[in-house]
Amino acid sequence: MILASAWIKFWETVLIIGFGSFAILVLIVIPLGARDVLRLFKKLDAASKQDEEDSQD
Amino acid sequence: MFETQFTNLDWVIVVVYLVGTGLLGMYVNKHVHNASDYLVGGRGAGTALSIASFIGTGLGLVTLMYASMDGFTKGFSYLVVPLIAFIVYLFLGTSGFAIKRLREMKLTTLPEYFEKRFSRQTRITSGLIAVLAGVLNMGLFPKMGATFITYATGFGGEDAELTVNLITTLLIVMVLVYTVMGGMVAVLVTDYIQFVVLSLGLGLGLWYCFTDLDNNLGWANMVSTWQNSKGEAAFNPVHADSYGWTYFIWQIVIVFTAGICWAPEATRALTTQDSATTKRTFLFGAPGFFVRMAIPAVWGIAAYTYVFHHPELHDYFLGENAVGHASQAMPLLLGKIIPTGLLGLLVAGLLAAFMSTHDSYLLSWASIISQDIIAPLKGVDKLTDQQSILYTRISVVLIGIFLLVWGIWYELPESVWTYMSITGMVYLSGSATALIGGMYWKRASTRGALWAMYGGLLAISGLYVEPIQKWYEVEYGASITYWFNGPSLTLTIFGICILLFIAGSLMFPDREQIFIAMEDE
Repeated sequence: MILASAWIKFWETVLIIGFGSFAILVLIVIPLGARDVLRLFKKLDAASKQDEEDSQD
Repeated sequence: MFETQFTNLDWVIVVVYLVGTGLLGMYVNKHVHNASDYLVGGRGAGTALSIASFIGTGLGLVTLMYASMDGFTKGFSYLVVPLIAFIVYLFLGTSGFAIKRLREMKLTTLPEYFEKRFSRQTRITSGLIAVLAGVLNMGLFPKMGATFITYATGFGGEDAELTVNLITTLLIVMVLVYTVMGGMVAVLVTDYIQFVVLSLGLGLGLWYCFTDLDNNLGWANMVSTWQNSKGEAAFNPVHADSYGWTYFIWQIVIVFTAGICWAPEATRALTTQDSATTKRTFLFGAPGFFVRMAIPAVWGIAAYTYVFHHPELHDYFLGENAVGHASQAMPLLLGKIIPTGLLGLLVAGLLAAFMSTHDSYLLSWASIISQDIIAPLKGVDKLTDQQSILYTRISVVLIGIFLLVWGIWYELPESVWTYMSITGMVYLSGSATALIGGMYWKRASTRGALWAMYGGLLAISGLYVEPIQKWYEVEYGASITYWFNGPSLTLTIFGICILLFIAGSLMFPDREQIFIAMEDE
């Protein structure tokens, strides 16, 4: 029973660390991810424009 | 007894959400200008978007289902698997082991590595085995997704097989249309949205599991129910009545090798802006890889607690004839404890996650077919953009047809995670050996790589372990499950692959290596 109690405490700690670090990650990734999406669109369109100009030259 | 709190309002939320996501996928399609954009998003994903997509891909409805099934049957002990994932991804992210070099090689698909390091034949072989293992691996995805929807929305019952199959078909058609239309840019963007919605949805589900004391849930109730029911085995993963040491070691091997060379996830290493972003993606993605299995495992643990304290459900889920019912417990629990409206949002988010996983997986395997099998067989270095997209789309549809047949015909096993681990090993045991060996051992040769990959095919036998165990027990009246099981068999095969790789490389060195050796002399 002592061993089971140690495991319970262990999983409790693991869950707090795991869920806590994920919560922090979510708060950071949500705004920065939106910025990355917009940047990705711009980058893809700019690359395509550049390719078109190169092919015309 | 299978009624849930899912109402028409929830259906409206689900439909609006799915249509909106689908339209968005089509809208972003206008930013796809060539094959690179379609297959790897033009390698333009920044760190935050890469992390969101990385987690979004892994955080599918399927993951939630298999993790909850093991949580339901094994209790807290299953948490060791997400813990292993957490540690492995932290290690890969900090060390850059293998993933950094893969990104620096500017590959489109993983098998491309094998041509650069070994030979074209190795690339084609790797591609064929990757697709075989990958498609088998995702063979049960649609059925699990359909099981979730059936039981969370209150359509479930003791005879709901036809409903599950109909929803399976509908889901596959939706995913195919979506993937064929969008490509990787759509995958990246919708993965991001899935990440946002699911992060909230997962938290919501967890909140109710920890706070719904009226239904005998909450941390203290869950712990005491499991402790009284299964004792130490519910918490100690290496206990004789739980997973055991072999399973534990097996999971470390699988999670580690999958992180490096399981195409849908490892492809994320190829789509980032640079190798530093790849490392950061793995490092900061680590909590996501913990949570994606840990939260549903807690849901499964809570589902067990719930049915344990509800006599009308006790026999169906925990009685003698309860085999095969574990997959239905978690969706039923969520349907019963989450209020109307919020339930619709959660189901919509999970359905979207289902699509997110499928589009990533379909695109990964289909691009391997077009880039690593068709192109080399046609004798060209690179397909044209149009050919590349066309072959990828045809492959997506063909894989979808297979999924439909396999998903309806194949019975869900008691542990889907074990099924997935075994099918994954078909590819991982050979290709991971060749990939890591090729990177870090100069004498690695084409013959060694090919032998290792062929050796990995032996892992298919892992799918027949259960019938063999049952046959032996009937025939000889003794159980062989302790030493003959999926983990021990596939770990042995992994060892065989390593030996084949070393033997083949030493016995048949590549020509260039012979010249290098002669020059050295």
